[in-house]
Amino acid sequence: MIQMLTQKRIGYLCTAGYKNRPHVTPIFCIYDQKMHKMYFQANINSKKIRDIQKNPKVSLTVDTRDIINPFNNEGVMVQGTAEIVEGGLRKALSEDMGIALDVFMEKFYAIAIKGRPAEKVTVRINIKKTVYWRGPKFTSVSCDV
Amino acid sequence: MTREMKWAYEIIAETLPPFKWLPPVQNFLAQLMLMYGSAILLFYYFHVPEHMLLYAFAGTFAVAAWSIFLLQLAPSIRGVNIPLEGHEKEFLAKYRMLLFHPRRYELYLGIVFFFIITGYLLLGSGGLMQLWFGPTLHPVLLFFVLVFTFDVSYRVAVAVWVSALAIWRSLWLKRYIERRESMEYIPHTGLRNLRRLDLYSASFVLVSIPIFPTIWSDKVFTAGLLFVDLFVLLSSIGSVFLLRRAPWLPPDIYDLVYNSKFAHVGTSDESMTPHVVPTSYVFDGMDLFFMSSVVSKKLKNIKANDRVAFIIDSRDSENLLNNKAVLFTGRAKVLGLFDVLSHPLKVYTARKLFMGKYPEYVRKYAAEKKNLPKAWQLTPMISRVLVDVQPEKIVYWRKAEPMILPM
Repeated sequence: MIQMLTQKRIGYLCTAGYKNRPHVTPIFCIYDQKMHKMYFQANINSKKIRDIQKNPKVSLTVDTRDIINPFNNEGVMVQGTAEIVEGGLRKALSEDMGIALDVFMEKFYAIAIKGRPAEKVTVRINIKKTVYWRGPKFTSVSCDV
Repeated sequence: MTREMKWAYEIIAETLPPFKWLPPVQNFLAQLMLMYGSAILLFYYFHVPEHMLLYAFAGTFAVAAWSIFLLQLAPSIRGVNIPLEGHEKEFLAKYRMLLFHPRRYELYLGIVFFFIITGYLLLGSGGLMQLWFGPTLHPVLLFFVLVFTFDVSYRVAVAVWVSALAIWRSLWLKRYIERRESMEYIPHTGLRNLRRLDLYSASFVLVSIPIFPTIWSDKVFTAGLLFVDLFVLLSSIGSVFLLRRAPWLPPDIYDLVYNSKFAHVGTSDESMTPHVVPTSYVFDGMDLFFMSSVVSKKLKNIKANDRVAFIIDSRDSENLLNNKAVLFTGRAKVLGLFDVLSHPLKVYTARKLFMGKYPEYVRKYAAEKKNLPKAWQLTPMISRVLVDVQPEKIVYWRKAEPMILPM
């Protein structure tokens, strides 16, 4: 489960702001194992950030899927609350997280906001509940930190 | 030259008082009263058998109802606004031109019908005139019958003309739409309005029902009217069907949706806690479908809040600019037994699409069914249900640029 979280970079973030309507977007995310937190960056004007400001509860899934055999499907879904953190990603992450990651995030973000002036924000997800599945087996872990 | 093209009957209805002043319902009642009133007077004066009063009521009712039907339909067809380009735009203009042609094709068709019907009534009839009016027929009554026959003929002709052109129009429009490239698309509302008009044209058939008892004793007439009804019904429904199958989304989105194997579906429960999980899915051109175990969290969420977000994306690890994603947001509906019975075609299509898209999955599930937890066994309706997502808004990202398609 931890392996899924640390190795996968693309996750799907679900928010629910206006009238409790769900909204899903693919995001580039980083898992900080030491603190058991998830981080991602986004444009402050984006729908996901506006949703989070209305309702901080979020859900994030990272997974791998096998087209041939459903029993090889594997994934992790986390649920928790999102908060905007000050001072950028590098400051927020535990010290031993690679600086290279931060550089990569910069590059990724530059593409995501291409051509549109925007203010970047870093978001931390405080994980409350984790669900892991591999094939038909589910494991659910709740934690209150 | 911007002269508005109209049907002959519309021009009469617009110039003739008191009908030109009346709103639809009053107009219908006025026409009915005028026609039926004159029928009563004539029948009384010429001692026509009493059962004819009943027949005449059915006939005049249908004619008056068809009049309103024409007066409502014509401006709706002229007013339908679909932003089209190039060939498609020219084609739609051609369709309208033909439908409301200044040469009045619908009137000629009506005259042809009139001659066929009167010819048969007076010369070849199986005794329908005798049944209606007795052995002798006064010329004034004959004149009334001829006027009435013309009214019927003209209205039948318009219905035939409208529905024949509708299916022709939908067939070509669909072909043109299929030739679109990458990001071109047609707003869904445009096609939906056309489909509604086609359904409305089919209501001609309903109005014709009261006429059947009048002509029931004559096999040729009955068969003729049945044939016309069937023609109008089949071409209108056929036209609706063709438009439903026209690919109105940009081909780029179709490629993404048809080529991707998995989607992520987001739901939210009553405490506003979002939930997102991967799922397999199929797309029937209009709705998205996915299968869910009856005990899953997403199904519980959908039952509490039917709003869902459904994302399908493709990622290129070499070049992030090639990433594409399409987000469908809308309402989800769990298809229960009742829906399976009321929308059998939809459910059948969805199941067939699943079989075609995930043959390995279906085989694997079937082979290992015994060893699976109950929630994963593919027993339709009992442990796995089909969920229908009806999109209300579609957002498409290509090269990090969003494009919003409202429904």
